[in-house]
Amino acid sequence: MTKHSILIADKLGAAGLDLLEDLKDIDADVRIGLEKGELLEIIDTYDALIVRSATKVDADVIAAGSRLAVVGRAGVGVDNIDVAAATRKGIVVMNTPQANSIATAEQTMGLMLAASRHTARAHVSVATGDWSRSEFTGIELAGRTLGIIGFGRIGREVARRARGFQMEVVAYDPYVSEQVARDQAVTLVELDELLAKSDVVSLHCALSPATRHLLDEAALGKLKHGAIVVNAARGDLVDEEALAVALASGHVLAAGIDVFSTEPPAPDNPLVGHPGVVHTPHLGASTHEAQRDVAVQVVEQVVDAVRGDGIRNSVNFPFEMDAEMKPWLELAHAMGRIQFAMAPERIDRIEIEARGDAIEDSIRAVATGTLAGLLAGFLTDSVNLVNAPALAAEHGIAVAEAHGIGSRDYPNMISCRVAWDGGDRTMSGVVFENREGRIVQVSHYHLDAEPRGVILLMLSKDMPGVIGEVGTLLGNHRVNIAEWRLGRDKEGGQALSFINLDSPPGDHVLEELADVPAVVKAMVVEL
Amino acid sequence: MLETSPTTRVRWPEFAHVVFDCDSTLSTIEGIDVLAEGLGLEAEVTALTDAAMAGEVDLGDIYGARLEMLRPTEQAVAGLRAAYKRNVVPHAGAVIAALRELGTKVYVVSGGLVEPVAEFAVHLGVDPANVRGVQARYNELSGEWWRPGQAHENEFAGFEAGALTRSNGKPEVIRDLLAKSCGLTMLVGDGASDLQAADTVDLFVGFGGVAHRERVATGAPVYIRANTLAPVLPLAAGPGGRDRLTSPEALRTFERGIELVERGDVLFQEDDKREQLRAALASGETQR
Repeated sequence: MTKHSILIADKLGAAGLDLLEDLKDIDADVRIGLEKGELLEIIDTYDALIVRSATKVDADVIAAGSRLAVVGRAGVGVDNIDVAAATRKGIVVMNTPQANSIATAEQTMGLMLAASRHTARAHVSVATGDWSRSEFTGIELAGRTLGIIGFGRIGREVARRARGFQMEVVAYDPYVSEQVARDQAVTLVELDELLAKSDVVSLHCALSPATRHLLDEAALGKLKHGAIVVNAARGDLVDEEALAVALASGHVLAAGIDVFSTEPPAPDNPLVGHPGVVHTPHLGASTHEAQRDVAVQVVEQVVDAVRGDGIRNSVNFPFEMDAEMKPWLELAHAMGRIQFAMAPERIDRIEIEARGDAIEDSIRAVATGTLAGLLAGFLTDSVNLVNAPALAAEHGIAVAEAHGIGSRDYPNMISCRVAWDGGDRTMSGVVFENREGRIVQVSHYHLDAEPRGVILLMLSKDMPGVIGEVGTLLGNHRVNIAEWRLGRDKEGGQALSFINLDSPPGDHVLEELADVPAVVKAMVVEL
Repeated sequence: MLETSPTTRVRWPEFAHVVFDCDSTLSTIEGIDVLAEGLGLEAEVTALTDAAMAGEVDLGDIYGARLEMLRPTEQAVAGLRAAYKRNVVPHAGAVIAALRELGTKVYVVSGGLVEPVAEFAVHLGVDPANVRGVQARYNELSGEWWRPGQAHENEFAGFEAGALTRSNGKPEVIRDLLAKSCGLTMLVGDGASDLQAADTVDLFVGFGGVAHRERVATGAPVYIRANTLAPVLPLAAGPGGRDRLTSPEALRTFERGIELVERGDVLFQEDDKREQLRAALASGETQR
C-alpha cells in the first residue's frame, strides 16, 4: 500500500482529524504554530499540506516541498498561499467553497432582520437602561422584494430562506440560466431592474475587477427610497463612502454589514458605528457546523487528491477531475507523448477534439492531458496536469478546440492534431468499457493499438515478409514482442506498426532496423 | 389553410399549436445586429440581414458569412439574453401566458443562435424543449482557459449548419417539431423565411410591428401592423378560448387584440376572413 503523508499546520476541526485517523494509507502529522524555519525544514517529507489562514505558504515553502503535490485550505480565501508559485511547480491548491454556504446564508438573514428592526441599537438602548420603543419601529420583510446579486450557492440558500419569509425574490447573475432561476422560483432580472425593484438588496457575488464597487454612488442612487443593503460577501463590492452618504440622506434606510474593504475596518471607516448600520466582524462562516464541514471537506479533498482519485475545488487545476476521467487522461497523455515522438519538427500548434457524451464536456481535461504528455517529451522540469497548459503557452504552443478532425466513428473519441512548420498529424483514441485506452487512428492509418509500456513505432512498405524480418531481428537481440498492431493505407502502400515490447531495444537495434529495406522509419516511445 | 365553413354559422378555429419566430417578432431586436453593433460592423451585417429577410438573397448564402464576419465570443452571445429581454415586443409575455393558460402549445423557431433565444423563450414562459435555433460552437480552449474561476472569452468556432441556416428551412423544422402532434398550427413571424413556411401551417400570421416587409405584408393571409402581439391571442384562441380565459391580464390582452382587429391594424388577405373572425367572436361560436 502506498502511504501518503499529510501535514496539518493550522488548527483543524476535530471531525476532520478523526477522519484522517481512520485512513490506513494516510500518515497525518498535526504541527500547529510552526515557525517558518521549522516548516521549511520538515516540509520536504510531506505529500500534502493542510492550512487555514495562519500558516503562510509562500514561494520558499513551495520550493522546499520537494514531494508536495497538494495544498488544501480549510476555508475560502487563499491569500496566504502563493498560488502562482504552486502552479509553476505543479502543486494543486484547493479550498472548500461549499462548506460555509448555509452559515453565510443564515448570517445574511440575521443581518437582514436586524437591519429592518433596528435590533442592534435597540439592544444597546435596553442595555443602557432605556426603554424607548417608538423610535425602533421597523418594517416587515413579508411581501417585500429581495434582490440577490450573485445567484450561486449562497445566493440560492438565501433565496430559499427569504421565500420562507414570504418575500418576492429577484436575482441578477449574468452566468445563471433562466431554468435554474425558475427551478428556485426566482425571477432573473438585469441589475438596474433589480436595484429599482428591491426593498432589500443582498450581495452574494465574488469580488473581481468587474464587481469591485458594484454598489457605487450611481447604483445606490437607483435603489428605491428606504431600501436596505446587506453585504456578507466581500467589503469591496460596496463603495463604503457612497453607502454612508446614502444612509445619511435616508435614501438607504439601513445596512447589514459583515465585511469591510479592509478588515479589521480602519478607524475612520464611515460605516463603523453609523446608526443605520448593524455590523459584525466577518462572521459569515463562523458556525461550529461550518468549521466542522470545512475540516471534513478539506480532508476528503486532499486525501482524494493524493490518492489520485479526483481533484475538486482547486483554484489552480484546469478542470474538475473525477476517477471516471482517469483512463481518458492517461490516453490523452500517451497520445501527447507519441505525437511528440513522431513529430519531425517543433510542434507549434495543437487542436483537440472530444466527441461523445462521456467526454465532450471534458475538452479542457483532454487538452491538459495531451499537453502534459507532449511537454514531458522534451521538458526536463516536472510537468503535470497543474502546470502543463501554462508551460505550453510559455513554450509558444497554441491550443484550440477542434470539431471533426477525427475521422473514425466511435461513440466516444478524442482526437488531437499537432502541427509544425510544414506539416501536421492527427491521432485519435478511445476508451473501452473495461476502461482501457486504444489508439485507433494515426493520420490515415486505422489501427487498434494499446498505448502502454515500450512501443516501437514503425512505418514500412506494405509488402510480404516485413513482419517476419523485423520479428527475427528483434528476437536476435532478445527483445520480446508483446503485441503487434498494424494499419495500412492501401495494399502495397505503407503500413504503420505499433509494436508493444517487453523491454526497450537499444539504439543499435534501431539502427539495424533502419537498414531493413522495407522499413521507412522506426522510433521508440516509452510510456 | 383554413377552410371557410360551408354552413351559414360563422366559426373561428382554436389553434392547438402556436409557433413564434424570435427576432423582430417576440423581441424588437435582431440578435445578429446587436452582435454587430458591439463590434462596429452594424452597417455591413444589417444590409445582409435585410436582404435575406426581404427574400432578395438566400439565407444559406449569407448565414455563415455574417457569423464569420462577427465571430462572436460565447460571452457576447450570452449577452444577447439580456438584450432580448430588454426589448420584448408588447404583449409577447401576456399572449404566451394566456395561450399556456388555455393549454395551447407554444414554440419558438428561430434562425438565431439557440442559446440566448432559448433563455429568452423560457423567460417568456416557453418550455425549453419547444425551442429550435442554430447551435454555435465555441473554442473552449481560448485565452488562459486553464485558470479556474475566471471568466474566459471563448472564441467562436463555427455553427451547425442545418435547415434553419437556409431560407427555405423553416417548414422542415416546423414539420419535424410537430410531426406527432394533432390540432391546428399557427405561425407568427416577420420574415421571408417565415412566409415560406406558410404552407406548412394552418395559418401564417405576418408580424410587421417591428419590421415592415412588403413581401410578408402582401403574402401573409393575416398581417399585424401594430407594434403588439395582442391580436395573436384572439386569432389563436378564437371565441372558444376566450370563454376559458380567467386571468384578468389574459382577458385584457384578448380585448386589446380584438380592438386592434376592429381598428384595422390587422390586415386580412381575404375580407371575409376578417368578417369570419368578427362574427365568430360576436356569436361566441368556435370550431373545435
